[in-house]
Amino acid sequence: MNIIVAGMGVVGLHIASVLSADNLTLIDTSADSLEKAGDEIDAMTIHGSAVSERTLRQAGVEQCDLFIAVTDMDEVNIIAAVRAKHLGAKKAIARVTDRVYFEGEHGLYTDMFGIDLVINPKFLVALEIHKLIRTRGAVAVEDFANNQIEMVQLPIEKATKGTNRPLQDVKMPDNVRIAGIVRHGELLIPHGGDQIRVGDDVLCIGKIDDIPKVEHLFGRERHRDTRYVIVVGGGDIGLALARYLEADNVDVRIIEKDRDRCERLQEELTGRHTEVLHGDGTNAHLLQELSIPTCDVFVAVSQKDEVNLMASLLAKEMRAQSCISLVHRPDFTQILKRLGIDSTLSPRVLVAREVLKHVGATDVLQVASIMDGQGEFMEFVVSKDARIANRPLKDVNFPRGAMVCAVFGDGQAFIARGDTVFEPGQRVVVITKPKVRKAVERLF
Amino acid sequence: MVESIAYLGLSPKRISRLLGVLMIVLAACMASSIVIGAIYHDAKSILAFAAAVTLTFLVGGAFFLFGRDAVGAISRRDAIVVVSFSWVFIGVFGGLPYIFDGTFTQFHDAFFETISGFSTTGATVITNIEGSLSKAGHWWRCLTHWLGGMGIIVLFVAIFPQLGVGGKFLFKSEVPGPIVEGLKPKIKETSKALWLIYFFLTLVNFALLWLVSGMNWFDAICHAFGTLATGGFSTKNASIAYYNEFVSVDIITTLFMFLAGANFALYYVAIVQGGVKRALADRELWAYAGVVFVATIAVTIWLNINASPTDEHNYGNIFTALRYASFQVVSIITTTGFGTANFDMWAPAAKLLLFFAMFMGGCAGSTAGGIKVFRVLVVVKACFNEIHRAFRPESVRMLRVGTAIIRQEVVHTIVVFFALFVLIFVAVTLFVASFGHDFITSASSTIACLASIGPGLEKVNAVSNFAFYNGPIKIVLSFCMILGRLELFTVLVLFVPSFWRR
Repeated sequence: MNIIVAGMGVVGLHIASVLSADNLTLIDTSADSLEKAGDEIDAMTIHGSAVSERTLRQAGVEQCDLFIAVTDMDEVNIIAAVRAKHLGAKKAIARVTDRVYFEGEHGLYTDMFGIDLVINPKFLVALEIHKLIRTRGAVAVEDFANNQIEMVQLPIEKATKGTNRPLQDVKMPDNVRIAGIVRHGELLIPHGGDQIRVGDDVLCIGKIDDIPKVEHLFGRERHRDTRYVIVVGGGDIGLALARYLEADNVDVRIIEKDRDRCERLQEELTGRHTEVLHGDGTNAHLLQELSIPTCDVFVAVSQKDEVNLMASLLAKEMRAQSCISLVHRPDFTQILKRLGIDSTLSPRVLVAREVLKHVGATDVLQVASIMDGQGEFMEFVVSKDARIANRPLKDVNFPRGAMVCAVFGDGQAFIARGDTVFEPGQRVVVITKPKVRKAVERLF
Repeated sequence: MVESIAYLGLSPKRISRLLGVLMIVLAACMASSIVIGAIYHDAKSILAFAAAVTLTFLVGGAFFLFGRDAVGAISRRDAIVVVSFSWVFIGVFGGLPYIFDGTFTQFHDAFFETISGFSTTGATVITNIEGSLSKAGHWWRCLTHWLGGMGIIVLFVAIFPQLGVGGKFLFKSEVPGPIVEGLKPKIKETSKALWLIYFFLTLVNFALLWLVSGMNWFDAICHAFGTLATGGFSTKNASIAYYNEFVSVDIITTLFMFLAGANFALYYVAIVQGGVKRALADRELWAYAGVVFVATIAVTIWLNINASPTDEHNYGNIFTALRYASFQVVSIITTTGFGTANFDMWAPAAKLLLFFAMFMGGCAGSTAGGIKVFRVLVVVKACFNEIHRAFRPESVRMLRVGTAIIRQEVVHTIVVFFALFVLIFVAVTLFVASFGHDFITSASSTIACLASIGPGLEKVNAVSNFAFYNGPIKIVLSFCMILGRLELFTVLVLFVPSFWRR
């Protein structure tokens, strides 16, 4: 596949490295950034503006299957995507951050400009945090099939009935499956003989209502309902998050440094239990005032990584139950985990994940990448003459390193078992390691 | 992210594995000579080559086994070490057949001849080429040219799967020219495309020599190898002059030498992408063609004026003079080194012009050596810019080649390259002269090796060879050829102590 990525910032670089198996062409206006990208990725680099027709043609836009505009300017991304489409790119994705472009209800970009996907990293982050808060205790959460199926990543902290014995002997709740085990940062797709050990993370996929049962099996209790959340940073992310939380009837305290912005937040957030505070998120005194130990989740989403880090550490010190921190720079992610911040989110990873969903073959509906691309959740439609169709799963020679997780058709979703028979038209969620992805695609 | 940072340093295992595979590739290429030996029923050559192939293969295998459990991607530093070392190894192991079949008794002779082949220099230490080499030996000698022309590392990148960015580092360390633009997004595909074009052009050159000029197939292949690689090894003692009565050999060889001295990426653009116009818009190509044209005219004129009937360079009429002038000019500028005349006997001005042309060489991205037309172009423009700034310091002038702006850092690197090239030339010339050789011989030998031309002037002129030099000089000149072929920096960094530290 021929892919052009315009803008070699943190996000562009990450997308490019995730897609490096494809034919990549990278565009940037800065020769230095390009050189750096060229040293990390086997790709053609073109110096110039993504808006320029000459640059785009030079990059081979006529034969391009996917054009991704992720420069740091919204307008450049929009115009570049439109132009790329006009010059022959099959699909165009643009990153647009400013909220004003999303006001109003019309699908402005898809209808008017022909851009296939407009990604707003800030909304993505806010949505993701909201999801994390909704399913607290899990490290990562993923939805499939219109939110009927959910994947959660659970850290195993103590020995229970589910651990230290072969998976085939573990009595799993119905409609739940262990789709993966993360051990020392490596993703394993488990077989019946594999065991779960303390210290692993398990990836459970199942119906949303049944997921808590498996959490129980591994000794993790669902937290009581979230009632009180503190948000540091009242930018677009903080604002969007506060809106979602308001709708859930959660008490929100939002801390913002800029006075004018505070007033703006006050206007926008009308919830009865929402309070906007003018102050510094790293001010210990202010945090103490908010009685941190009683808050369910502490979220740091300011624009500065350093502020987010320090605020989270302070909150952790004051025994906050759970901390979520936004990290822009990839360099910090590893350290934050070690410092005890429960979840870290980075816009670049979220944007890349969103882009990846659009990369697969046409009959792949959705792709979610996990563990920085070590594994992928893919949604397939069973075609009429697929090798997997009309026979029970246990008779299908399914490649090692891949596993069928969930099946849905007729509006119903269920978890696949050995005797499940796939019918054409059904949709199937598969977890796969990248190296067997092609083999899996051939089955459908 | 953290993982990739941890792997940026040098890894002996990764280097060893790559070197091992490269030597196995070398052994495979060498094995083709066994086939030639078999065709001509030459048991002695078959034995010599079989022994050399076995030894190379075994040593390569040992390197590979040592590095088989290497982890991580090839770093930039790994690539530099692999490329530089592989060139030395190629010289050592590629020279084995010459020793085994008795062509040489001295190691430094075999090393010199092999490096001269792979670096496409074409300087020889064999006095009687027709007499002392077997068919298989001729084949291997010319094949070293061909493999070294587009680059054995580039070939390796083209066929070895999944080198990733490491492949790019390897590629950049071997392909000549300051700007190596990817033709295709993947470096593997780019390498493949370049080798295919190279192969195709060689095939056409061979077919023309064989079918049109009536050369026998073996000599036609060998000369096509030497031409497209801008090498200069011939199967004849007299080089191309042997075919003096066949004007078509001169014309075909001149044409293909000229083609080999131009940027191969342009052929890709013109033929595969259909961008003939875009290819012809290349400034370097025009500068190259312009220099060749002007030099040919100038040499033709100098051969005719003041020529007394007794002069060796008196060719009687202007067309004959043009024939020899054009061949020699193209042969020198493209750093091939084939000869149809001994230009050492020519008028002083013609001789000097050819001597200076040696420094420039062909285009970036070609198989030619030398400083490269592009760099000369940039240096000349930089000079003009500096002169302009001398009286108007406020003026901001970007350096342009065609429509492309050359960044200040790139200009800087090019100027430094130019200076380094001249410095190395001076140092090596002094070294050679210190053994008692005369000024012109020392200087022309040095530039002939550094710019991968082959013949020089005086004692190393087109009808002589390098056999009379002693061991140390041969080793230093071989080293010069590698330096010139890998464009200085790749080799020189190995001598910077901090390169080997963390």
